Amino acid sequence: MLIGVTFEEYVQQRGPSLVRLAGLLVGQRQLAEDLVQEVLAKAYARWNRVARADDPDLYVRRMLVNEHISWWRRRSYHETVGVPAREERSADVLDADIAERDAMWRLIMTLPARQRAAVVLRYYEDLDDVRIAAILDCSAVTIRTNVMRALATLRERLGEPSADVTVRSKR
Amino acid sequence: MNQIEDQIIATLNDKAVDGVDVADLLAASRKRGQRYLKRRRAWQACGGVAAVAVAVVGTAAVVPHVSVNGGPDNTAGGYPAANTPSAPQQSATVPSPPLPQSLEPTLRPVQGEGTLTTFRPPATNAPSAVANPKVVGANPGLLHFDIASSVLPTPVTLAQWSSVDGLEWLNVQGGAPGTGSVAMVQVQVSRDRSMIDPLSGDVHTVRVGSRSGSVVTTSVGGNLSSQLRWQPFSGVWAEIQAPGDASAAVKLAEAVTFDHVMRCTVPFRLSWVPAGTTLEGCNVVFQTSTGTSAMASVHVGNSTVTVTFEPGGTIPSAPPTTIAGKPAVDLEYPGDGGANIFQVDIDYGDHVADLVAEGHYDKSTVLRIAGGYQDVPGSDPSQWPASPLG
Repeated sequence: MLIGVTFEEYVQQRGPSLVRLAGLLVGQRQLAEDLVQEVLAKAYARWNRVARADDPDLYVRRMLVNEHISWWRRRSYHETVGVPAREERSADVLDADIAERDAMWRLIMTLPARQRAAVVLRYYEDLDDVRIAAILDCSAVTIRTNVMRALATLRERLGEPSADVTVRSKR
Repeated sequence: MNQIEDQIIATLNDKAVDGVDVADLLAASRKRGQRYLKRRRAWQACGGVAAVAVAVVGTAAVVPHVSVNGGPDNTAGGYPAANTPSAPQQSATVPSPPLPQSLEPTLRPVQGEGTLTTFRPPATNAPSAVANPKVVGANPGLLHFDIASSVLPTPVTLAQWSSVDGLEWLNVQGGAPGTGSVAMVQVQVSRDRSMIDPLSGDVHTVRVGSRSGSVVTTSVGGNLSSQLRWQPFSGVWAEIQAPGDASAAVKLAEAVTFDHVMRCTVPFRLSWVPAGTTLEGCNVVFQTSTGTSAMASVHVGNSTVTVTFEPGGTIPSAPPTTIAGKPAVDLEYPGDGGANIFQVDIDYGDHVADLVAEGHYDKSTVLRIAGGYQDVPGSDPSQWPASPLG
């Protein structure tokens, strides 16, 4: 839970994980590092309060996701989203798995911010619905709905049948 | 787990960045965080107006008003530029023009609030931002912009001028007489766009004089406020946050001038500081309710000491010590960011001198600096020292 840690201890333990999470949310490493720095700076300025929280890591990750959603809403940032680093690479020179992942990555980057956050928290961070709901400040039912819609969108854009879209609750 | 979920997991694991430099992340985050703290402390130096932000309570009448200024003085430009190694050298051969007539005082009282006798710090003959954009934010002892008070939306009860970390700013707070309303205008100026607040919301393009600008207007409780960012000239960014719609913000932005310089000055000096001590930031607040408050932060070795002149402040009733013959208290406690803070408060009767040390400070050094704190008598900023360092 990391309760009572200093700011330095927290960043050393959780910093890389935050950058990885941010990278999956924003799609670009430089933006991800900037986003994490911004969030950690805000956390630093009120660390006494953060460190006293029941779960400081949850607190900071909530800040990160909210900041990402806020960024996403801004036109200038929105315009830069969806340009994955490998977009220019031709699929015919890559093996099928890489091409498939690149295609999926581009599609994930086009999801609305909250859906994308729910997908990343569920499938990369491997968090349960309750914890994702705490980060996104909504109910577990809403999380399942967000994930279901995201999967439906991804399936549709991949040209797969929508009948397979099922989202089980994750506990 | 179905096939598409497997694909998502594989994709996210493949695309996750690796090789994060934690030391760099920590240093950059801490530096930004300290910047936030400095801004917050500067805000707090004027008695908690921080909470007001750009909020507008009630409908503020447009009342021309306020401000007094002693006009240009003959003092050499602010604190020594040598404090900031990268600061351009200031040349006495490029003087600023006299304060424009349009900015001269038109003093009017705010009912029930008394009269704001001083709106802006004293002018000085230093190169202006127009003459050399690189001077903006380069010397925490100087301010390179001004605004014609006649365009402000209400009579002014508080004016805060500050320069720290490459950002110069002004906060103006006022209220329409008899309405109980509070309105606030903020101007930020920097050579670095990332230093000023980002625009948040739907951005529209407007014209500020001959330049283009970006504006966001939001409505809170039926009251509009706008945030307008523009480049008055190449190399300098400016932003104004104010009540009203975009056209109101444009009108204010067009009243911001960059053709003369003022000294960000404080009513105290530190008669002793260790060799190599430099000024980091300056903040002075003129207000009707409590008089002038001011703050200067100095870099001492690997620590920062922030010195605040707080009128009407108090310290605990039974201070355990004295400094320079005055009742005083010192205490150490965990600060923001987890590291310890060392605070010294000295009671001068009608005000408190407050020193806060952060970083790798040495307590005995901080106490010695506190012992050398000296008030500068008088309320006329033009009589205050060119620098608190000596």
